[in-house]
Amino acid sequence: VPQNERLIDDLADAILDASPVDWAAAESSSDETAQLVVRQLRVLAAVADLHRVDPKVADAPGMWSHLRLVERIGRGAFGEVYRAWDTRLDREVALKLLPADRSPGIGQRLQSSTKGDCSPKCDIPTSSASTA
Amino acid sequence: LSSEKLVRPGPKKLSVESPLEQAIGQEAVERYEGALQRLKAEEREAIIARVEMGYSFEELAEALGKPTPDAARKAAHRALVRLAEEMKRAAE
Repeated sequence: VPQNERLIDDLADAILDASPVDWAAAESSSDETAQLVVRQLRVLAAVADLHRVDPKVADAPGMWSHLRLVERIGRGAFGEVYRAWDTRLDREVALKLLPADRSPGIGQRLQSSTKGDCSPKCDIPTSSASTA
Repeated sequence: LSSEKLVRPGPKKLSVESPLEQAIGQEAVERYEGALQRLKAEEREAIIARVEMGYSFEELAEALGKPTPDAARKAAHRALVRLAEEMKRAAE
């Protein structure tokens, strides 16, 4: 068990440092329970790598409440407009994000993740979602 | 008119996959996003800032209100392991 914990710690460090990992070797050197965690760490390594190297992934900031942002389709002084999928309505929508005090993208993703649901309490000057 | 001519083509299927979904698959992305939402707020912020946004540990310390970059690194490390365990539970 301590060996598994050490392996998982080492893999987490490698992901944080963007160091290369031999994932096949990591999976084969862990027991069955740890293997399942190692596989998820492998997914997380891929998520991290893609955000680092693929601008399309880096520019698509994931979920905004129940809206899954697909791609940015416009940006300007007015803010940013994204093509998004509304998981409640099960349809495509356009999401407009107005400029915030904090740097766009980063602050929005951090805050929307923290708050989960965008409501009048939401302190991000937000989002008007309308049908695309 | 033949019945064939009255048949309209169905709506064009919209591609709604994000670039990340295209790369690692929708299931993995949903597992990731779902597990992320189950983390504590600080853990979630550490993951998003470091893994998605590429914050340095100095920037992460500032964002999380940690006294040192090393403290921020430890927080990100714990969050990453927690996230992997949450994703494992979702995959079981």
